[in-house]
Amino acid sequence: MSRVIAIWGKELRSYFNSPIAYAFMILFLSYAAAKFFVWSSAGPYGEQRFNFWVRGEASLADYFSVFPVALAVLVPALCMRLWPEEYKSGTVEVLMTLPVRSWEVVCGKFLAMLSILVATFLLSLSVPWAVSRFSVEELDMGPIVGGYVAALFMGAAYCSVGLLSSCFTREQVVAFLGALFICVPLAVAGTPDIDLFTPTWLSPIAKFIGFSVRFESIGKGVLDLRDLFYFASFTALFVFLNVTVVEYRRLR
Amino acid sequence: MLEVRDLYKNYGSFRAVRGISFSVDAGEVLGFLGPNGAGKTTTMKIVVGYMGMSSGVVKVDGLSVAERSREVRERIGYLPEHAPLYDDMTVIEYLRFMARMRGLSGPRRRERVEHVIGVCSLEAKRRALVSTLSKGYRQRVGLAQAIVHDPKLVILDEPTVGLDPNQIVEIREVLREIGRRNTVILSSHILSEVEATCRRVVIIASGSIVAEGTPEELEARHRDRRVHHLAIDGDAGDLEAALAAMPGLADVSRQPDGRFRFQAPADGSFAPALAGILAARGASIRELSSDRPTLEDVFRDLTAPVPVAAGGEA
Repeated sequence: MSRVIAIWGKELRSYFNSPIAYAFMILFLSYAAAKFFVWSSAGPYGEQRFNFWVRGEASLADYFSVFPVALAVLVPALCMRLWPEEYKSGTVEVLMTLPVRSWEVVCGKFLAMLSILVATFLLSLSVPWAVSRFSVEELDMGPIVGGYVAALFMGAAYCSVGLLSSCFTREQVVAFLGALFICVPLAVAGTPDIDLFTPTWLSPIAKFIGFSVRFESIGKGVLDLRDLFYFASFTALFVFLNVTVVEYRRLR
Repeated sequence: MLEVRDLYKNYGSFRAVRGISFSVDAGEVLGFLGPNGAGKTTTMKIVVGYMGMSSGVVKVDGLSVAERSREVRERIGYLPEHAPLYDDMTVIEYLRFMARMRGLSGPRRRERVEHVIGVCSLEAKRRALVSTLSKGYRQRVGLAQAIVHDPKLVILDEPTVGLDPNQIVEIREVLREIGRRNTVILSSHILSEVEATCRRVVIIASGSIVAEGTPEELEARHRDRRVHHLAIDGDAGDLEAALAAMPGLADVSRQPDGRFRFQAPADGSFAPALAGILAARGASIRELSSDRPTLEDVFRDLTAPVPVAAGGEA
């Protein structure tokens, strides 16, 4: 366990010694906040989507609705260096000849990503705070807590994809694109906008695997354990696959 | 301490290591010598458990690398070629991290990290970012992490490659210091390196061991042969080919200054035949000299790309 913590600390340190973690946080927070406070637009069915000031409701549903796609794009960028950097600099050779188990390395890296997500979400609490400050209605805490729990579980799932994708290549860009290729479809599958173009036979599957669908139902305050279980088992599967790949490489 | 028996490693159809066997006793400093691509790095990667073997037995401290990899890795300190380090950490952060990963904790960790900073003369750079270090310092940080847990076996792949002469001398001192306490295997394709630091040498070429012994023994084995330099008056013609065809002569080459260089018996028994060949071509000897054999010659002789008898002394 102390080795997991050592790797976790090492990854976090290198993320905060470089601009990557800050860039991730700033991009995510400013995009989500802008979408919530500034943006007004027409939806696909001609209905208007208004920003917070126009609507004047004390609800964060629109804020959270940005999360699935924003994280699907940004988390792959955050994760893309995890393994390629080790391969390119050759440090993987030292790392894997330490008396450390494969799962310890993978979990350390995964937890570092999760920590950056947690830090980002903590900073994003400024938005609920601002909403409670500027709206006349009382803010309902249920959907906010639910939204953050869901965001954490969904973010973990994205991280596990980003981590696995990065372990197959020495090139960060390839790792990024690989993760993007999985994360973005997962994010949008089953949402009303996309469902229009989904073949009918595929539609139930898309609704089952789609992240947004599950994320939004938790965000509405419907804390269905099946949704959390889906995210948790998805994450476990991808982390396990990563451990398997690392373990397999050892024997060659 | 280390036992390697009948080690084979294939990459697809290419056989990188072909039946290597050797052993290293506790406290020994072994030089692993060979030209680039001879299989040194592959062998080392197998010993440290980074790479699997095709067949064979490797035991560190009596433990099989294939079966008890983790316990073996606890006993090993390894520095790969080019000293890969985490660039975005400071020296002290990096060494603390490595010490932790190697299972050290508390006061023992602090004490060991301070100790290796002393041994590797890293005091001045302890707060410097690894990415800002010169090659010599990087190599020292790499050595420091390899010995921070006082391992039973230290494995260093080309610890002096790419360093300037001053840095090489400095690293050599560190290596000697390490060799006093630990069992060490270091690989190199530079002979002076091995002569300066190792008490025993294993020479490997194209995946097989071609010689083994102390540097003195290896030189002695070749004492009856010497490198000769020949300068002639008159037209050389196809002399190079004629020399190569002479019995007793080997490794014939024509130097840029027009002289010929070759290996031949030290007793000069080849001289009459040489004179005959030259006379037949209307040329004569201007100068014929010979050098004392160095490990360099032994090495060249044993690892030359022309086929050599392989695996004999192992």
